[in-house]
Amino acid sequence: MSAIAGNKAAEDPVLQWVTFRLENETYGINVMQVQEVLRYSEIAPVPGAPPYVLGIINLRGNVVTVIDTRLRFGLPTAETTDQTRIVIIEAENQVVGILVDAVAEVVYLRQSEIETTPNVGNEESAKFIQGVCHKNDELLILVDLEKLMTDEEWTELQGL
Amino acid sequence: MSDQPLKTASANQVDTVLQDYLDQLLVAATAVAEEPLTSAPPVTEKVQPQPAASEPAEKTAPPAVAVKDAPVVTYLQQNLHVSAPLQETVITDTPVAEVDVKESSVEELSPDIAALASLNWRSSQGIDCLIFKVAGLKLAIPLPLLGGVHNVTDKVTPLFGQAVWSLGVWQGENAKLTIIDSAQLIMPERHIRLSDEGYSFFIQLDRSPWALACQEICDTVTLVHDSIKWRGETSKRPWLAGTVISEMCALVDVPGLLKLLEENSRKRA
Repeated sequence: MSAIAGNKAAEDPVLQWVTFRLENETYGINVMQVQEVLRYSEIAPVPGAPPYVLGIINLRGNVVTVIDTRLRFGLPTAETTDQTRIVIIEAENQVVGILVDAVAEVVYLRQSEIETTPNVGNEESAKFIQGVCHKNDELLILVDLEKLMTDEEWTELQGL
Repeated sequence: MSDQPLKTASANQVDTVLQDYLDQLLVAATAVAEEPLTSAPPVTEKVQPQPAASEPAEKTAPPAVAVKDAPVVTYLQQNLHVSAPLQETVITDTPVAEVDVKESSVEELSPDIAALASLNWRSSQGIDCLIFKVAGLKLAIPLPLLGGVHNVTDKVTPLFGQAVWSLGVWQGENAKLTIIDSAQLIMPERHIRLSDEGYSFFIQLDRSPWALACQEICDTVTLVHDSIKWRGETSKRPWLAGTVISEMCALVDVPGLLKLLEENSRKRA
């Protein structure tokens, strides 16, 4: 019995996703890529940085680049609030921060629960969407952090 | 002082714009359809005269129509909140016996039209179609290719980076549907956004994950082959199967529309 259950779990693993809010929608990122969640603090702008870079923060002596997630997703800009957070993530062997409206919770999703949707996007940002999942009466948009940036952009970030 | 005259003028303007648009559709469909359908009997022209452009759509109903209850109407009435009582309209002014069935005229049509034609438009019973309204434009979809009519309950979740004609994803009871802004897809030149104008129903295309957002469900009609001005192969509108002058509506080419949507969607890696 347990062997069968083990096989099922291997075939359909349960994944944990950290959810955050942006422009009244809920997005999810793989918990394995999230290092920590910080309250909003002053972000120092970097002269000459690409537009998608908000600036840098000092994280216990380490410099972390913060990405403008709204701009990246093609969403309008918004003021920071008490709920605004910087999610420190690791992608493409780099540690970066993404600015979000709020962090919601950690949800458990089976791989089989994740559905793909037709991608009718003309914009580059359309490829960030890994899939969608219906959870807690709302649709969760799962983001592929590896695709948040092109190879060139990841290299550019490293050079900041 | 009242702003009533202003409102009336504005409403008239909208009517005129819509009338012009439908006229353009009718002219385009008629112009390109004339050649491939030369073998079709000219009876359609006599029975279904094209209305003058200045006449309102409501005045262009065929002279003799029989109205009867139908199971699908009953179903829609029971399951949907609709703004007007649904009726099935059977066009009876074209005697079926007079229609000369010629297979060659169907073969000359494009593959999409042929797929629609496989619905057996020439049967004496005709094909039941649901008429719905998008930004004032009346569209008809054959009931056999209607996946479902969903009342908008939950919100549509927009996905970033998508085409302007994609409203987002909607989770229905049984399926997840990608909702199309029909106005943006069908008449982008009008710059009407259903996200601003609002919508009440989703028309699911066949058993696909695609659905058209619409504002109003009108009624069901039974259409026969000759009541439709079929579009030609060279039409620039793959979603358009033809126009129905008697109803002043455009018949949706469901396979053509699905093909268009699939062509515009990219597989996610």
